[in-house]
Amino acid sequence: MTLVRTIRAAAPLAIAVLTIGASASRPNAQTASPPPAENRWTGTASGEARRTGIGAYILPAVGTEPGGPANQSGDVVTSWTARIQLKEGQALSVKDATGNVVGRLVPLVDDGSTITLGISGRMSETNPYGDVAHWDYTGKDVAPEARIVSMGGGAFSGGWVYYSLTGSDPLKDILPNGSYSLLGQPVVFNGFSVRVTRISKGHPDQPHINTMRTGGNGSWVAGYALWTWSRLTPAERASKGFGDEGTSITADGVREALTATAVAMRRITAADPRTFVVASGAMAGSYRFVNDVSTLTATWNITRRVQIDGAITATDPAWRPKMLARTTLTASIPEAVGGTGKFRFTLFDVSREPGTTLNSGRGTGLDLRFADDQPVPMTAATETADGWTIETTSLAASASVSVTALDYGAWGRLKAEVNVDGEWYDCLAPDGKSSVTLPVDADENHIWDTWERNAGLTGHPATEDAEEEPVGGSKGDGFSNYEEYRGFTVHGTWVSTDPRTKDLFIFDEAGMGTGLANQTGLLLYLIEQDEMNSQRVVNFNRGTASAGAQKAIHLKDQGLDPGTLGLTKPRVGTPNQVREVLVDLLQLADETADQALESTIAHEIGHALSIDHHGDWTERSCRLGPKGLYAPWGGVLSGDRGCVMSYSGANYYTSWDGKCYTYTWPQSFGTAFCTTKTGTGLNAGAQHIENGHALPVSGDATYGNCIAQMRLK
Amino acid sequence: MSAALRRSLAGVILLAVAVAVAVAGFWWWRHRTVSPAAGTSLSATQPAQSPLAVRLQISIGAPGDDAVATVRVFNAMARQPESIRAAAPVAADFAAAIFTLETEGAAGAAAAPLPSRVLRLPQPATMSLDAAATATTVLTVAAAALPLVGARVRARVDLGGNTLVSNWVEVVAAGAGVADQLAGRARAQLIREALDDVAQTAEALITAAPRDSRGYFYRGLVLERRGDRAGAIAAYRATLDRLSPGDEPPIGLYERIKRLSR
Repeated sequence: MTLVRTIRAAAPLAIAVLTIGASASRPNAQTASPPPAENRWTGTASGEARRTGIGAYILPAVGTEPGGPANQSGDVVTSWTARIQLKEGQALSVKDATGNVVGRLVPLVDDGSTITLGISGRMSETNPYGDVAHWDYTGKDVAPEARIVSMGGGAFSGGWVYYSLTGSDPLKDILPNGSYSLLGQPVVFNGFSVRVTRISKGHPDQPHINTMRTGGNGSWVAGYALWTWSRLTPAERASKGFGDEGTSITADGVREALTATAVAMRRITAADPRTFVVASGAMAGSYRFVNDVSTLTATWNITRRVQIDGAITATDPAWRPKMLARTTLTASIPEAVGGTGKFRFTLFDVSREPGTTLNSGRGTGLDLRFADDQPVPMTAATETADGWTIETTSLAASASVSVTALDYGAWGRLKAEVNVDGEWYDCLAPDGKSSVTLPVDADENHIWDTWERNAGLTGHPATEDAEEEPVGGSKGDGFSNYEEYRGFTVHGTWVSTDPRTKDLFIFDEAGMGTGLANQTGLLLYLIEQDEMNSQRVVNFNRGTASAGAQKAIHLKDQGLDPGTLGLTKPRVGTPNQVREVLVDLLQLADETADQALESTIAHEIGHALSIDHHGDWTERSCRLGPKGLYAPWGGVLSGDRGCVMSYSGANYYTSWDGKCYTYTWPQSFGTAFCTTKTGTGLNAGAQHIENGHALPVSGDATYGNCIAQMRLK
Repeated sequence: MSAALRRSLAGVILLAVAVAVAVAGFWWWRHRTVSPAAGTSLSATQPAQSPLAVRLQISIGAPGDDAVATVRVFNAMARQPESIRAAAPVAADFAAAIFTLETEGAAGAAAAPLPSRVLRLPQPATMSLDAAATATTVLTVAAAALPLVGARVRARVDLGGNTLVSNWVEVVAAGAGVADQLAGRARAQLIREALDDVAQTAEALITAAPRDSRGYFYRGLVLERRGDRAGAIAAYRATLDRLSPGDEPPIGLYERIKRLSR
């Protein structure tokens, strides 16, 4: 995309023409600064020099007039109108004491300006003898013609403009950004006619008339115009002490020249040594000079037209934010445009997620920053309200910048601008936008597109929490897509969790393991104590697009009532509701049945996932005898015998026939979570009596289908 | 006082001093922190980011009792979901390991070592920690050295120069009543596998709180371990008689009775 813009410059200032005795600065190939392609200034200028009476006309228009100046009177006006076309020439980089480029001094060279000069008026003179002479000036001439020249060799002499590239420019007190000078000194030789009428006092009716040729000029100077450097080639400059092979000058050198020039300029008639500054993209101004014999006016309005193609590469699609992960992007002025500039990179809209993952780190600093070591010399990064800025310290056609992530969910935008001669131009991304997102994130939901695509979540909201696997009583696991993407710290290891499968975090305080809880199909992450907060919240560093606080299960070894192997407080609830899951390892150590520990752990974790027993139980015996565990039909022993949520041991049971029986089968522990209510093993089959026992024992479960009950939130 | 008497008295004093020195030396020997000899090479092979995790549990008995600290080391990364699992077992030599307890310092202050003594190392002491294995070490902390209630304690395990740090555990008060205190004492003694002590505490608990089921339960545990099946069954039935209904059926108790009744 080509940008054609008129320059919008800033502030106040001065004019200068430099006679440089600059000290050489450090060589730096990047400071060589050919002009940007065909940057031009075009516009108009006009003015006049009105001279009255004595000394009114400074040129010897009519040779030697009789008498003396004391007897002259009349007005002669030289007017001029110019159509100005200037071209930016070989610029000088201005460097501070550290070698950092702080500005560019750009010469303006005539590139086909035309000017029209005219003269009119009468000058009269009476000598001491009473003789009178009238000089009537008329004429008009247009440059370029051989007879009209200027100090610049064309119709216009030229000028210069200064571009300050940094707020810390040491010349800003005397040379604000956009300071310029224009110098018009067209001269016409013998292009005008003057009709001289001489009237002798003694013969007033016999005037002597003749016609002569004369010349004129349209000099005007805005600012400090000394041009000894502007038309020099770099080699010529180098021979005069300019740095970097004639392409740079020190700020002190500029200051010295300006100071010296200012004095001289104040002595020049037709000059206005004030500070002129490009404003609204134009050199526009006027001045008026008046003394006893002359009134000089000049008005000009000249606009810059620049063509800049700034560009920035797209974000690496393979880059995702991780702690200290860095990526590099490059901004450039395309070769077709040419030239060099100073690049500024801005990180903005940068996220401030608490910590570094959802459950580690503290603080809410900016999640992206510019890397400490940049591919090219840069200034120190400056923090803004929502990001950072950083600038190159040299002029170049392109510059790369590296960005470092400080959070696994870091997000932000990066834009690049290039300053060509005092004006910042956006560098556009391949998609035409003026910034890129970090990481690549087309829908700007703060989730890296590749992660979304791999998860099949493209187009889904960042706040969505809708896992369906494993199936259960509700969708989701309490963590939003963004949170699953940003990830967690698990035993010190960062993990971006699976947004398609429900995740459960467990703090196993006794190192007992999760037993058969993996049979739920959940992804079970064992975290450390400091990877949840004191309220068991795992995503305590939640910020953007959170689905709310989600807690871990706190699995503990604790002495329980005699016979109680595990306990959940409260008895059934979601991870957010169950305060702790208790297992008595000392009691379980004596259990001889297979997988007693693993099944008990899974059973209690099941309660913490809202899964209930298969049915009821009591300790009221259904027959006379010692106290014992009694299982009613469809009660705690019912359903799938292999389910960890069922019980397989009791003292008594009541079967389908309503009668009470002694339970004589050995205890066993389930190894899975059932997916139906249907009874299996002793709970399955036709109703019958076998060896004095009614079978099935407890039949189908009253509740059962434990997986379907499972809820994480 | 006669000279002979004075000589006799001096001899007694000297003997007492000698005994005191010997006792103090023995006490020191018993209570010293177990640590490997200088230059001992440990066999832990875990990488810098150790897959191993450490957990600390502190059991408080009655006031004035030594506390029991249980330190468990396991391979946490072997137990994670497949996406981050590091399944390779980690070899560890706990005989050469250094176990240290430390109390949390005030804000910004370093943790302070807490005197402790290793009572029981994992068996075997050299083991391969896979997803299933957990290495349990039992330490004791003298009552006098125990931090105040509310202080936080953690364990540090140096395995071959690789230092692992446990969770923080808050020191809790002993039970409020005699029954709770004695039950806590019995549990701590059971962890220490001090059956005689457990038996003594169980009887004290039964005497102090005859309606409390726990005294009979601990009596049963001791008798079961000593092979007195009938005595254990009787104790467990006595436990059942005194047991209040809970959220979970006391399946473990019924199964013990069934198991011992076969």
